[in-house]
Amino acid sequence: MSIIRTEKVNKYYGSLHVLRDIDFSVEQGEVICIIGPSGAGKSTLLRALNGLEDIHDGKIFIDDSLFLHREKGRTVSVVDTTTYKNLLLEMGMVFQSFNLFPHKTVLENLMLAPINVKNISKAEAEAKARDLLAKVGLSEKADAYPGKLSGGQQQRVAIARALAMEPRVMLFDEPTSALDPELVGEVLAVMKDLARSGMTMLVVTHEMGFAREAANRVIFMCDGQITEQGPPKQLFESPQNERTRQFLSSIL
Amino acid sequence: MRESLEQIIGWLPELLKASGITLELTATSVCAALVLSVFLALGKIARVHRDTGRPVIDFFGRALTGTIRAVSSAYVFFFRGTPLLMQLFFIYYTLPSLVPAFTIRSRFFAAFLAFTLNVAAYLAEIIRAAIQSIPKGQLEASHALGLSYGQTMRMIVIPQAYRRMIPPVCNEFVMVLKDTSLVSIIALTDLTFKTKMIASNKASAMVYIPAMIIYLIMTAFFTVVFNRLEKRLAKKD
Amino acid sequence: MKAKRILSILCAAAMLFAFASCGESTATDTPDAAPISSPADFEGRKISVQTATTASDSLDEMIAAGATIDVYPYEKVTQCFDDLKLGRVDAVYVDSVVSAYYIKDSADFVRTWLSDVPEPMGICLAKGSEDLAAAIEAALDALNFSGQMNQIAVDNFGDDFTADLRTPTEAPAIPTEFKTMKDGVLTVGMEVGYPPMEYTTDDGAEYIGFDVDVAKALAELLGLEVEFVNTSWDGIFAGLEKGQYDCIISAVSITPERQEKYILTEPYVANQLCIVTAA
Repeated sequence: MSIIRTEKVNKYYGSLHVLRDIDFSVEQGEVICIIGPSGAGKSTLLRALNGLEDIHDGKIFIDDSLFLHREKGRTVSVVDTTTYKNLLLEMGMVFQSFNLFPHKTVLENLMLAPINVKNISKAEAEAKARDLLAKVGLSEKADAYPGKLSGGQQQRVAIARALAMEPRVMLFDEPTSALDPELVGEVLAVMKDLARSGMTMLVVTHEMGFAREAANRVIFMCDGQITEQGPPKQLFESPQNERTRQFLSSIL
Repeated sequence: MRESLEQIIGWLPELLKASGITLELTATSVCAALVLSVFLALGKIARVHRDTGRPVIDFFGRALTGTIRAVSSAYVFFFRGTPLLMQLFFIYYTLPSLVPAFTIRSRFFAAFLAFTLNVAAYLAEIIRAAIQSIPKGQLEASHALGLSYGQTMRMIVIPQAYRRMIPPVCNEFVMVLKDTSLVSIIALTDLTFKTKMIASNKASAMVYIPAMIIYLIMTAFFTVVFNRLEKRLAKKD
Repeated sequence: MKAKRILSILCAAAMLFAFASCGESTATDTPDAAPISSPADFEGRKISVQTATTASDSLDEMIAAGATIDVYPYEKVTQCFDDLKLGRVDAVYVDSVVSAYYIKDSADFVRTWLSDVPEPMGICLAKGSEDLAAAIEAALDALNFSGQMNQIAVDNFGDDFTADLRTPTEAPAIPTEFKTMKDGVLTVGMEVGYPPMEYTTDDGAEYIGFDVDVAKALAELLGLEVEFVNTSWDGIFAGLEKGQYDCIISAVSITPERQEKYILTEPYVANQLCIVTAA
């Protein structure tokens, strides 16, 4: 049973066709890295999955139930509001620019959604939040405001915030692209830990080292299409597609 | 010189009483306008956030939010695009002539109404700009965490926008304080009207000195209060 | 959080305050109270009045003497009558010359009281214009003698407020030795906007009214063209001192202070305070 599956997903920005007939699925426990040149539609695909981008047509299934079906820019069917929210919460999202809430402390950032969306008691939410902060190594920053944290620390808090909702799959949208080089490592370390713990992950990234080491599948996207996918070893060492070869040779 | 000083001191009780009206009108109408303007600002940015997939419901949803946007925009356009003086006259004289049931007996209420309606239009634009200045990433994060539109506004957007609003709202408050001098045309004895009455009755232009000083004290007081408030909130960031 | 709470409490308090003061203003509303037939009936009632007029001064004196009157002071007298028509006030306290204009064409208003102390008005000139003043004085007598003044008054007021002020027994000789600011032109200062004394036609193109007619008739007798300078009341005497016009013909009440500072002619029209209520 796949956690996420898409069928013929298309999206346009004006006349630009950014996603072309995307069919792919994410299975339980998989760690998938999406790589490719910029403008390939990697982030758009990720953001389309949890409704941050409207798709033009196609179907998205979550847990094998139809989550969203659109044709020619109109919604044909969508699950009811309660189910929508429940399915949405199966996916945790980590953004390139962290997007922490600057007016809330780190702890409050982690507790806000569990309390207000999942109706968990404040004490339980706090215990959970402190536990997660310990996991990402930021226990001592619980009462700090995000503005006082380094980029790497902010991104680790953002990961913890997404995990606080106990998602079944984590979506990472270029999580290290906005970081100074020396801060990338600490974030990748947290992500590797997460991968090892069995979390299903879908990561849009330029970190080939991470993809090679942590992924069990790598998807190469180019011009809005998935042109090649496979285990990292195969994709990196013997790419079949010409575009993949060009891309890999240009970055390695 | 000594004579004028004594004169000025003699006028003070009357002037202070009249500044009471000025203050009361400013404070009440700005407060009421704040409440109204939040709805106007939200109305101006209202839109359907997610289709239901049922064409009839989606159509009415779009029609409804479109209407709300149009009405809010028209309101703001009208009240910012016409002089406050005419709005005051309209409420005080034109409306009762058109519809006798809308005859407002209380001068204060007429002034309060005109200022509230007018100031709300300006505050709505301030609030809308503040809300729209919140980075899109905040809305995306809150969507991904499953917060509803109402929760997002209440917990994420408004608390951040609120700080950005304080300086322009303070500005507006001080402007309104001075604009209340318009109410003299509907016989409400505010500080300006009282000053003009003393000036023409007693034939002394000296009265403008204490009157301006009182205005300065009032504006200075509120500027300091708002600055304090801003600093206190800024500490958190 | 605390700041927010304080702010909302302040807001609520301010709103309460607003409605309290609105209530205060409407509570004195007594539509079925006794009719107002003299200033003694003003107690506890709403009276509108034009600012900087004799009526307004008189109300101030009554209040200073302990009366409780809810005064609606307006800068424009038309607003006083608008309010009376809308039922916001119980009466207008106003100059009779003005009230005549509103009563003349309207079934809405009625004059319920007329003061028996007339307040005479004169034409005002700057010190040093004695020659011109004498010529105007003689010309005013001539207008009265010929009956022209009486006609102007009836045309404008529907009533003769000029009767008995001047009683020349023969046509006076009009002096010809006088100087005006501009040769051959009588420049007249007035605050236009005080019907029926001086105001404009509906399109605003032309000045009309009692003082305008008097000025035109005077100039004709003096062999001069007439030119009007519209000035706000606040600056009208300052303008005379600066020599912006030869004289003020603008319902100027004769008072001892003014007589001391300027030249004032003998009265050409007399005003009386009166009370107008809704019919």
